[in-house]
Amino acid sequence: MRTPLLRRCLLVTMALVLCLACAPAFAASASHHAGRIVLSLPGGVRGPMVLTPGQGGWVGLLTITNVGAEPLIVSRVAIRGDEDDVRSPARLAVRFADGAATSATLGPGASKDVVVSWMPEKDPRVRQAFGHVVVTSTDEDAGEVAMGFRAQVPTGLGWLGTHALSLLIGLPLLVVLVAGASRIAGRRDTPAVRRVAIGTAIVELALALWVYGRFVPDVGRADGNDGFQLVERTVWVRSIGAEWYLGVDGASIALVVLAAGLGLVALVAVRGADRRSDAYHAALALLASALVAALVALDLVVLFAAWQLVLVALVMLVGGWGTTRGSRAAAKLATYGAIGSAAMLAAFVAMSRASGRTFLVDGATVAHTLSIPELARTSFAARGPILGIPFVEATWVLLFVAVAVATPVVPFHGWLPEALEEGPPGAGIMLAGVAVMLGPYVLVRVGLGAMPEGARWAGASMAALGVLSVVYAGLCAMAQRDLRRFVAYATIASAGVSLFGVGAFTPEGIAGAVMGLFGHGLAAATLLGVAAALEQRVRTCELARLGGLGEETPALAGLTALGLAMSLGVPGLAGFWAPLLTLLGGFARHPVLASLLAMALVAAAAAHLRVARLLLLGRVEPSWRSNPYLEAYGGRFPDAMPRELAALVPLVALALLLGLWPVPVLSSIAAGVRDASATVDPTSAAAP
Amino acid sequence: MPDYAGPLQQVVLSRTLWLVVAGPILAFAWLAFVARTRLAGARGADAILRELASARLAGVAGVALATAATLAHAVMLARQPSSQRALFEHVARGARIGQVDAGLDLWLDVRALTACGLACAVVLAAALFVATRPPPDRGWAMWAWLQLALAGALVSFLADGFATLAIGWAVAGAAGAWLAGWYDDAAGVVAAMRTAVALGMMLVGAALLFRGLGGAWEDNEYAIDADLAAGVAPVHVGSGTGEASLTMTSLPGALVFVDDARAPFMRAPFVRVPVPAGAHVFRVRAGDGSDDVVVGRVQVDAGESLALVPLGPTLSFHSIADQLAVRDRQGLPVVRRAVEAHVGPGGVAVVAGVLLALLGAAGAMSAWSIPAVAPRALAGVASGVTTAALGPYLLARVDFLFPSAQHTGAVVASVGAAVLLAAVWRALGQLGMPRWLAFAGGAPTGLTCVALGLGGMSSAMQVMVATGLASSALHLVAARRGEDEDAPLRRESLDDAVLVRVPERLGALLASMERWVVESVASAMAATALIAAWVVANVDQHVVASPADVVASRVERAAEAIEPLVGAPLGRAIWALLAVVALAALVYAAWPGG
Repeated sequence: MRTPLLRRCLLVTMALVLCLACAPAFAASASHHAGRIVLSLPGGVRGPMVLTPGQGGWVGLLTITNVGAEPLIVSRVAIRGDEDDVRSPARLAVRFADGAATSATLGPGASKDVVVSWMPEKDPRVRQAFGHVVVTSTDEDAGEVAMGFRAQVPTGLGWLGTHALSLLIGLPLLVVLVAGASRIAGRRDTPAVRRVAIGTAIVELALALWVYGRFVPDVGRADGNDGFQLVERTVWVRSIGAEWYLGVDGASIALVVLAAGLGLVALVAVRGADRRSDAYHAALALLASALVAALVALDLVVLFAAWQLVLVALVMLVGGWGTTRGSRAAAKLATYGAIGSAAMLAAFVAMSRASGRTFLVDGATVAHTLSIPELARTSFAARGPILGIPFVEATWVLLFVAVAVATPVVPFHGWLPEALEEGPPGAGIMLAGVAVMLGPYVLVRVGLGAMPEGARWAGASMAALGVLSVVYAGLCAMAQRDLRRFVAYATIASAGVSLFGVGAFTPEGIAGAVMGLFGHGLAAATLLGVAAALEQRVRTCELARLGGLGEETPALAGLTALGLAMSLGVPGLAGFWAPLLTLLGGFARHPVLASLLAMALVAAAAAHLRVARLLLLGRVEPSWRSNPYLEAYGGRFPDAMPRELAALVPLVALALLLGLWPVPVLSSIAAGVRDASATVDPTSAAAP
Repeated sequence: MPDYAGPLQQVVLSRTLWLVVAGPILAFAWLAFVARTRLAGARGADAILRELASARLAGVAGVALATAATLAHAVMLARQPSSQRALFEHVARGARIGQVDAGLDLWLDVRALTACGLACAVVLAAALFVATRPPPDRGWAMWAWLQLALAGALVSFLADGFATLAIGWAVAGAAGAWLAGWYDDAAGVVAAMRTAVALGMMLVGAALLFRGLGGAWEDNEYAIDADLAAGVAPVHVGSGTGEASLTMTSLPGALVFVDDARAPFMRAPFVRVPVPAGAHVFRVRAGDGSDDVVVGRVQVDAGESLALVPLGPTLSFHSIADQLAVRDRQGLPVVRRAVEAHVGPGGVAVVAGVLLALLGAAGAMSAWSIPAVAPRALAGVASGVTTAALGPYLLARVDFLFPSAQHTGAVVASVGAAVLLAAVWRALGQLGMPRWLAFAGGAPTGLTCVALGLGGMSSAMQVMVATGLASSALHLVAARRGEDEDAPLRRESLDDAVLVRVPERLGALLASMERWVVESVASAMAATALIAAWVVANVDQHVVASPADVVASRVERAAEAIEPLVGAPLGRAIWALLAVVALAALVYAAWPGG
């Protein structure tokens, strides 16, 4: 980084965030009142209860003990949730071990065992069971108490399978450790770090594909576990009620695979950093880890921490390995990011404080929840205003500011063009391909999922802002002179389409938004891969100077053409389904805006065609023949190298496959988007 | 559950329709990726001639394969009973989200067969013409273009739904842009832009139609009886002797259960599968995770054929046609009436809007896409089918909408007449053979639309074939005579003044007017867009981004200023602090019990 102090400031920020996140962990535990009813597990282990395979299903034992001096009447023992509030999968049962009914009277010091059993079908769609056994008794001080339980049908990979999401987050951090170790050992900039990074990225992608393979489409909220799969949940910071709560559903599974895939592409397509390459790879790995963490986080603290790490890693990469103006771009990114983070933190705190009493995964009671699925059960409408503004509206605006900065949405987009132009190409691929999708993703996950009242209030505004972004970015894209800046504005336009889709609330619109994120991730990575190749050859991506690639570098030109077509949404490529679905889903709700969007897409087409004409057609500028950069290649532009082809051709092939057969992505997201739509707009779910 | 009936198109399932389009696609891939590379690497005249010959072989083979497959399917179609002359193939499941079911399906009926036959005939003629010409410098390109154009046309003609049609149009549009840019890159970009506009309008039309068919309607808006609102209508499509049978051609992949059976009876699409006569309850599981739709109880007598027709929004042409044809006991088209009676934007208005959007798309796609300067044999193909016929064919394909909007025929015919007049206008501005070629560029579209509006579908098909063949032949004749640009017509002395000079003068006047008007409008639009882009980009750079720039600069400057005061010790301290905090957090997280 040009200004090491800036980096240090960022590190201080990161340290403060971590301190703030962890400080309450060292605080004294919350006072534990001397209740008369106590739930315990055999052997005195703490919850949650792990159901183990037994006869005909998974079984666990729980003991209710009366530690008081008076008799205790247990009036109800049940699995938490009901038909209207499905929490756990079907076929769960709870009963007293002695066969008695679910009520009993326990004398002083007496105890009674409770059996919890889960009997999934032979080939179950839901392979995990998470939930709570709730016990109601005459102990008024304790109130309703609970014990969490979990059961897991074998995944085939043992411990690795049950912790797949944590591994996805942790694997890239291996690169950080290796980079740190090599530095400590005095072997700076060793190529081994790059090899480890690529190897780790390959394993990461393989693991992400395994997760995708294990993911069962069509599992929704009604199937239990709040519709999430491969759930990992354990208490993280008890004092604030934070949990290490991870899971994937339809809205996130495809994006997780994309993040892992583009992590590898960013390493392979770009040669790496010329200086401090070990630190560069470590920062890139940190970014990959944080991105996956943000996509699978189901707890606000985990999500916020991941969000901050994404920001820190991006600022480090842009400032540390960008061009001479990289530090300025990093400063801008940090400024915008700080505004967004502050807004997000405020929104999260407000949401959490507004939630009611609930249980952690082990059954401990907390006054407020940070779990996103739990927040979805909270009604925020009745909360008092904040500074005279209704609670829902104020909180939603805060959340949306964070999303709008990250997405980015006009007018919060100023950081992206500079970050892409001045930042290192590898970081650009991760940024435009994956990081910008976090905004719409958080909007779906938290905005629609946990705060549907706010989404309903802001739906039309969201859709309008989306259309404005498409129009504005389309016009800006038409005037760009640099390929990377063009990609930045194409990214803003694509984010606008996604925002419009989310604002429609229909399953089609939300599916189009998610598909748009996926499709544009492929397109942006392809185009930025081409930009990196050009930058490496001639140190510029200036469109006006790079004409005639079609004649001289057919492979690069083909990749560029396909990348532009993907970004534009040409039928037959993956990008097509996003505008189609968002238009179909949005037309029903916002016909005027949808018509404007269609026109704006035509403007975006003009911008794309302009770039195609400038880059691919015409003749190569004669001055290049004597340019020193091309001396080594005989004055001609070298075509794509095997490394570049290996990184980019799979992206194009995938885009072509998904253009004709989008089922692998669309079927996996169907249930998730249906649930998201139903949460915010119950009428859409009722439609045939 | 009341009984429904209707004149549904009975179909035969096919597994081979994809073969019609496979030949040109494979040939194109081979020509673009293999032949092109080999030609570029060929050294010496013999090697080049050899590669050109192999490219020619691939080109002719691709067209011949498509023609043979089309003929074979024509024979298959002819062997079907007259009521079942439609082949349907579900190629791939596209999007099935919410109410959208946008699969990639192919459909061949007499109308599609006519169009495919025309395409194959025209491209075959062009291929034979090109094959007999001396090898040009870029021999692979002409062949590849022919494959691309044919593939685009065939996919468009066979498409059963807007999603497949969009893919066909995109391929045909790419071919059109390539041809327009053959000698002039800028013209190619303009042609590609026109395709983008056409696709945009088509998508708007599709979205409007989706809305009109009940997309995201509130429950109380769907003003048909409650049984139909369930989503699937049992439609009695005919009776005869033998066993009772069940058909379902929509929602490919959906599972159908009969009565209480736990195992699925069939997976859609299926046609005329025997079921026991009697009263049945059918359960349809669409496969998108939505709830099963229960249909019944429905009485199916021996010899009777029952079809399950999903209702509501869809992008499939045959599904839309089927549901609009569903009639109740009184013979009333209940779904069509519900769509027409829909409040809000209004059903009739919606249908009219759909037709207008599609008409605009058709116009943008076809009328003016024949480049003035291009290899004539290829321009003949464009003039005959690949672009000129796509627009009118789309209108013919959605003719099931016509009855729901008044005066549709008159509007379509009027637009066709306008296109025809415009073609005459352009033709008058030319001399000699180019005059006829200019006329041939717009006439097929205009005449076909006129025929569609006035005479209906069969007339439109006849005119499309006649004008397509004629205009292609005209281009081929021009190419053969080498009269691309300026060969004047032979002037007859008696007609000289009336038939040649006056039209020439008039034509020159009209041409200059057209240039002035059209070019001015186009230039004004382009300039407006560019100015808007320039203004917005500058506003973006200097106004919108300015506050952040200022802050970023100050942050950067502050950092640079303070840097000498602190330094490495601070950095090390921060790293140490971070490590301690991270370690503490990890230990805490990993501590048993959290």
